[in-house]
Amino acid sequence: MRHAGIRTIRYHLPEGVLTNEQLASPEWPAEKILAKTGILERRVASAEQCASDLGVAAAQALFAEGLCEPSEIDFLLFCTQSPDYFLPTTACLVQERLGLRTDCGALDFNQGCSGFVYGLALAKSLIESLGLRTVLLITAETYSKFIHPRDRSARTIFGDGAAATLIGAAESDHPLLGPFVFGTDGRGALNLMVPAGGMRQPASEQTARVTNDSGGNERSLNNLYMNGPEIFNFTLKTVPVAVDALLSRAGLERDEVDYYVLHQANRFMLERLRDKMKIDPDRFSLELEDCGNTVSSTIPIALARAQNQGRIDEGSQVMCVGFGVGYSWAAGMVTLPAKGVFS
Amino acid sequence: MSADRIRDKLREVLGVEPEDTVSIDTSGWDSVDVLELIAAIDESYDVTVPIDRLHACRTAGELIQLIRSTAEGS
Repeated sequence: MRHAGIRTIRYHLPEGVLTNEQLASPEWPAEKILAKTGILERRVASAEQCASDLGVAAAQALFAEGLCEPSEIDFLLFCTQSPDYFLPTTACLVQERLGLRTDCGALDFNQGCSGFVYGLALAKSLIESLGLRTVLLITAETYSKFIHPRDRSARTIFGDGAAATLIGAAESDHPLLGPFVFGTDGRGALNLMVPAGGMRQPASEQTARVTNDSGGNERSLNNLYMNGPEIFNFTLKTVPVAVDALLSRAGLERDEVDYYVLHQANRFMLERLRDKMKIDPDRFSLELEDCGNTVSSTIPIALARAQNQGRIDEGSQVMCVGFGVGYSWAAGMVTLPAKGVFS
Repeated sequence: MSADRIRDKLREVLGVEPEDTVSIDTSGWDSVDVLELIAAIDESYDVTVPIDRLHACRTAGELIQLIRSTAEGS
C-alpha cells in the first residue's frame, strides 16, 4: 500500500554564535545558564540572513545528498513565523531559488513549536489523499530578529536555524506517518507573542518604547515577549495528555515507542516532562546544547541527529511532540522506513 | 503527597526556614526559581496552580494551602 514517509532530513544553522559567556552576568554566570537551560551556545542569523536563506541552505544540503532532484518536488511547505516579507509568500521565493518546477505547489504556514508535526500531517495528506509523490517540508526561523538585545531571558533560550525534510510516497504494509493528535488553545496567545508590528497593532514610535520587566530584561512591544511560568504550566498540563492520547490512538504502550522527540524548548522543562511521563532517559531526546530552541526546527534537527548517532534506525517507532506558541500542539508517530521502499 | 519539596524550594530561595507565617513574594523571584517551584508543585501534587494566584500568596502557609486546595479540587 502507498504511504507517505520521511526519506531524509537535513538542517542548517547560521554561522553567528551567541555563547553563554556573552550572555553571562554576575547573577547568571555561564555555568548557571548551562545548568538551568541545557544550552551552551545558540546560532544567530546575521542582519542580512532571513528565514528563506536558512531554509534554502537546508534544502540545498538535502539535494546535495543525491536522493532527489529539485524537479521532483511536487509541493513545498514552508513553516515560519518570521517570513521574509508580509507578502509575497516566502515559499514562492524559495521555489525560485531552489529551481523547483513552476507546476509545484507552494505555501507558507505560520506555526512555531508545533510546526514540524503539523507539516508532517499536511505532507501525509498531500501524498496519500491527493496522490502527490514528493513533498519538501522546510521549517525555518529567525526569532533572534524579534528579541531585544537586552532581553537576556529570551536571548538565552532561542536560536535561529532551519531544517528541510523530504517526504515521499513509499510502498509499505503499514503507515509510516501518523496517527496524529492536534490541539489549540488561544487563551495562551498572550504568553508568547510579538505584540506590535502586525496588522492588529502596527509598529510605531510608541510601540518601540523600551521598558524593563521585574527580571531586568528590556523589551518593547515590537519585541518577543515570553511568560515562562505560564508556558511551563501549559506544557505540564497538556503534553502528557497529548502523549497518552496518541499512544491510545496508535494502540501502543509507553515502552513500545522506541524514541521520544519532544520540542526542544529547554532542558529543565524537558527533564520534568520526561520524569512526569516516566519515559526511559535512553529513549528521550535532549538535543539543544549547541543550537538552543530553534522553534519549528528542533524536532527535525533532533530526529536527524538521533539517526546519525544510531539511536533510531529503519523500523524505529518515534513519537514527535511539538508544543508552544499559540498555544498550539501536535503529536505524531513516525516510523523510519526501510531503504528501497520509495519509488 | 507532601509539601516537603515545596518547602525545600522556599528554603533555598528565601534563605530561612519556610514556616507558615514567613512572608513570600514569588512575583519578585528569579524566573528560574519560579519554574523550579512550579516543577516542585507538579512533582509533589500533580497539579498546576495559576501563576497569578501563586504570585498573590503572601506567606508560605498561604502558598501551601493554595496548592493543597487545588490538588483536592482536581
